[in-house]
This record gives sequence, C-alpha cells and structure tokens, in this order.
Amino acid sequence: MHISEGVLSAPVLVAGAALTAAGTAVGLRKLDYDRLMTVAILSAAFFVASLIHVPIGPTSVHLIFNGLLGAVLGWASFPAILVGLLLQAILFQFGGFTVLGVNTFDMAAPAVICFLLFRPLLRRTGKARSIGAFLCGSVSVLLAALFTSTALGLTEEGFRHAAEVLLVAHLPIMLIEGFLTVLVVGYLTKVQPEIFDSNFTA
Amino acid sequence: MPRLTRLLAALLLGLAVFGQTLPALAHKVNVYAYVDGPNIMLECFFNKTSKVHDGAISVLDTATGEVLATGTTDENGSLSLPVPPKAIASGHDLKILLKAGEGHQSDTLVKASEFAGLKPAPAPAKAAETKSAPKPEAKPNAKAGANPEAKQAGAAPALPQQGPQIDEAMLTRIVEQAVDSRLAPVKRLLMEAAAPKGPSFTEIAGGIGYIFGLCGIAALIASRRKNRAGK
Repeated sequence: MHISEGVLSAPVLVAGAALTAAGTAVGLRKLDYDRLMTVAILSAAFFVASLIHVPIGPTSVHLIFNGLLGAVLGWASFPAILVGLLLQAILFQFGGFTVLGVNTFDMAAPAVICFLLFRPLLRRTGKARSIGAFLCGSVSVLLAALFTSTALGLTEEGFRHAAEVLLVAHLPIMLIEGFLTVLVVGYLTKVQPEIFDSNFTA
Repeated sequence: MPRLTRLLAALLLGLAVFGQTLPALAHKVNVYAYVDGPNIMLECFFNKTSKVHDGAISVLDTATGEVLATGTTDENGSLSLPVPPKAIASGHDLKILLKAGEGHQSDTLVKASEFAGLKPAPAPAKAAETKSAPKPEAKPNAKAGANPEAKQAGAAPALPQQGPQIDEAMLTRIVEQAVDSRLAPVKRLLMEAAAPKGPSFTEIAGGIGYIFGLCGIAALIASRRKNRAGK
C-alpha cells in the first residue's frame, strides 16, 4: 500500500505530512521510555512485514501489521511506523520521501483509531480480548485501504475505483492479520499481561 | 521482558528470512524500454515473476510534454508501440510513463538517438515513384521503382538514381535494421538481468539495525534527561 513518489498532488502531500507530524508528536509525548524496546521490535516487525507479499489476482498485496502495532503500542504507532517507512524508502525505495507523510498517516492513523476503539475489549481478558485483537487487526487494514484510496481519489484516480480495487485485494490480508494479531496478543497475555493494563497511553 | 524480546526477535528473524526466500516480490514497479526497428518495446513488472498487466502507458515528448501515444500492457506486462511519427520528425527524447494502479507509477527515457535511424524517406522520391508507377507497368521490366527514365521524367530534385543501385542512405538503413534485429535479444537479456531482485537480506538486516540503533539513541537521551531531572 505504499504510494509511489510523484503520484499524489501537492495539497494531499502537505496535508499528509502535517497530520503525520501531529500524530508523531502525540505519539512521542505519550511514549513510555521504559517500553522503548517493544516499540523498536514492533517497528522492525512492521518494516519486515511489508516484504511478505500475497499475490492476489492481478496485483500483489503485502502484510501491514498496523493492527498489531496499534493494539500494543497505541499512539506510539505513529513514530514506529514513520521510522519503518522512512527506512524502507531509504533502503528499498518503497514509497518515497515526499509521500512519507501520507503513507505514514494511511497506516498509523488506522492503528491508533482501532486502538482507541477496541481498547475496552483489549483491556478485558479471555474471549473478549481475542475478539478485540481480531477486530483491531482486520479493521485497521480496512481503514488503511480506505485512507489510501482517499489520498489517491483526492488526487486524480476515481476514488470509488481505487477503493474497490484496494479493498477487494486486501480482504485476505484483513483476515490473515486479524488472526496474527490474535495469536500475538494471546502470547503477550501469557508472558506480559501488564502491557494491556497500563497501556502505553497510561 | 526477556521472553517477550526473545519471541519477538525470533518472529522478526523468521520474517526477515522468510521474506527473503519468497520469490523476491519487490513492491516497486518498473518499466523498461528499448527500440526494435520501428517499434518501442516495453516491459513492465514488479520483479522477474510478477508482471504488470493492464498497465496504462503514455508516451510523452520530454521537450513539449505532449502525449504522443498511449497503450495498455498485455498479461505478460509487454507492449510494443510504433515510434510516434511526431517524435521521429522532432527528434526529441521520449518519456514512457507507466501507471500500474493503486498509486504505483514509474517512468523511463527513450533517447532520440535510439530511433534516429527511422527518419522516413524524403517525400519527393515517393511522389516521383507514384507518378512513374503507370509507366513502368507498361514495360516488361517490372521492378518496382527501378525505372531511371521515369525518375528523370518526374520531378526528382531530391533522390539520385534509385534503380538497382543502392545509395548510401538506403544502405545505412538496411544495416541499421539488421543490427537492430540482432541487438533486440541482447537488449532483452540486459533488461532481464537488470531487473531488481527485491531487498536483499543485507538491506533488511541493515534496516532492522537502524531501528534498534535509533531506539538506543532515544533511550540514551531519555535516561540523560531523567538523570538531569533527578539531580
């Protein structure tokens, strides 16, 4: 879902950069520096996840992991995803620098939104937490596809067409990520349940 | 914390290795172009195995920005377009723009020197040939355009004897066509060799290293701040 350089119009790029700057500022302020290692590890997981592609019909889509990041990191997803995308742009030329703001917002905002929406579920235990994790993982992919389509639609491609293509292509990813998030959250519950009690936003 | 770190680190390593061994699926779209005879041959792909089909191609004049031709790639990501006559005439470089949907876009340059050999035969010769067409048919000699008498009769200010003699311009064209057709498979080989293989393990490891490095610096700054605040 990385939008390439030179595709989006200037207003969209500027808006994306501004929104990402704001989100990252909040994320850094709410960051618990004792948990910095976890942020780094999840940022690295996000960095590598985009390399795992699932060929779907004519296109190929990749895992995003923003749901997992949202569930565990909360607002810190913004700096984590920003760093991941920046390094992808530098090392693999995925995405780009001018479009970094938009790409970050496309993936981090859904993470935060899902975190806020499903935090009550994630705070509870047992089945409720699993459902919360699944929803967090799948809905954040859905929202990421929607935000990307909006960015493309605001530039030139018909929003509906872009949205349809992206959403259909990412349906399998939604399911895969939902399950992956459930797995990881389940493991974290066993080894370090405190993550979900005093979550990063304290 | 150690167990968590261990799990996530293992997950990470697994992903990095797994992502590397998958048929290197890069996420950047690429378009390569070369000139073969009168056509521009295009190959569009994400990587060696994943081609772009139904990609939208536009051929633009780099000097004027005008769109000279458009096309769509087939299911192998290939497309061949005749070199636009306007480009041959103007001798400007061409920019090939590929839009592969979902925000994927790439472009490449076709230099004017690659299709310079396509300059069409001067018009007066053609006019002379059509004018002389009815005459040679009457004669037993049926070689097309091989009639020096008709040439001299018609308005032939441009081209000298055309008959069985091959003049320099024609010779150049013939040689260029022959060389082009020999070079076409070589150019294809070069293009395929140049196709990106996706991020290497080194690059992935480097990226992960940078992330942890940044984390370390952030932790250092944070602890310094805490110390200073504590004092």
